Amino acid sequence: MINVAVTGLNACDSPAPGVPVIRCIKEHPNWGGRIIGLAYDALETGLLNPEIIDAGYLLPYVKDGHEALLARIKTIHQREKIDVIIPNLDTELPGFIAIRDTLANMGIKTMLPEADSFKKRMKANLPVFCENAEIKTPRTINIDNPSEIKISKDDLPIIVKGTYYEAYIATTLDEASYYVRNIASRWGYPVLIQKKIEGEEYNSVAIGDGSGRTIAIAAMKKIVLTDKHKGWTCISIENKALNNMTEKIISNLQWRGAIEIEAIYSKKEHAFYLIELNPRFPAWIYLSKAAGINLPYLYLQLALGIKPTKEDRHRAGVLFSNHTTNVVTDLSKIESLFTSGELRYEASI
Amino acid sequence: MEIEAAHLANIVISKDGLVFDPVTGNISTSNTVGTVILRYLKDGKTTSEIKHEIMKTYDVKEPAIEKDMIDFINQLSNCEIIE
Repeated sequence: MINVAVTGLNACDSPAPGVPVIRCIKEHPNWGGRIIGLAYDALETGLLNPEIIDAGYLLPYVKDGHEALLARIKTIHQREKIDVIIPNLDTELPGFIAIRDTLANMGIKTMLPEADSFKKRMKANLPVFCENAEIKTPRTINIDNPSEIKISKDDLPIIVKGTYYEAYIATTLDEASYYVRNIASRWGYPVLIQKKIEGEEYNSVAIGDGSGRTIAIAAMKKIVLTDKHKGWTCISIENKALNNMTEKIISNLQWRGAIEIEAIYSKKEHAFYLIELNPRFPAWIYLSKAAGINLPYLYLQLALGIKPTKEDRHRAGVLFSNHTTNVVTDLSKIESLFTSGELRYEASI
Repeated sequence: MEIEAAHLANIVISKDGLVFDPVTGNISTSNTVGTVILRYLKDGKTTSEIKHEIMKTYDVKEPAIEKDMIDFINQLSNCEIIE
């Protein structure tokens, strides 16, 4: 019996990856363990469903620093004997990377990248990484001061992006200025301005072993987008050029763990442009399992240091769509989350 | 006219005319004759060979089938099913 702790449990309109990661792991035929949900808010939806987690704990906010995170994990570990932690949120990853060695000494395994690899793929550093790796990426400007937005009408339309989250298309200079200030008010500077590439959006997700080797890849095309430009309906594909780009990225970053590649295919240039590299599983990860490769379970096996089981071939043509539903629970069943920041669904363990 | 068959070989055509490109993820639909033409293209037949096959099966004159085939092949090109 192993205990796997997973973060990112809010399956809302812009879902976090935790719940689909858990579903992939629990649906693997060899799975036999417990899932410990880790959340930053008592109302993260995954905490409310005993079919998703066996126990749940609240973590301190990221702004409280990694020492607070480590102290909390130590407390949880005393109760749950965590074997593996799978962090799934961009903002929490620097904290988990900082405490990785201490976690390892406690017997908690992870599959996290080196801090240097993590930084190289950050949005503000992506142009330099792409130049060195000879990968196409749209021209990007880092804005540190809203009075210095050096773009002209000829540059429009553009994408305005926050360092961690949010991206908006600006079609006028006024819109660009508004989005820069708006995003900075939530995520701080720099805010990025990226040339908009005309084309269709493709994503891949892969696992690297840290030596530059890619363990497995799954890829998809977005068919239906939300107003936040997130993929709502997608279809699995088998695209050699996208897979090659993914392997090149993992090799150049010596990436360890999961990574999502966001790309746009320019029909005009017959080429993929790299848009973003997300240092974790994506919210569409359940598609990888449905298409034949259970990436979260492979990740788990690698973290545990065991030889991955042979997966099926990744099949193209598997359609995936988010589908909202409701979770209901009695307040009495989750009241301990509010009062003590923890919850156990099992009668006994 | 010969059509590049490397990409076409991967195209999935259902019996009802749903066309799926596993490389680009594009999904489209085709009518019965279009599906027949696509299958011939997949088999590596030239447009001239396909034209004669169609004329054997359907009651259609050569100028009409030629025009329709050019239109259809342009559509396939726009969908990036052929280059």
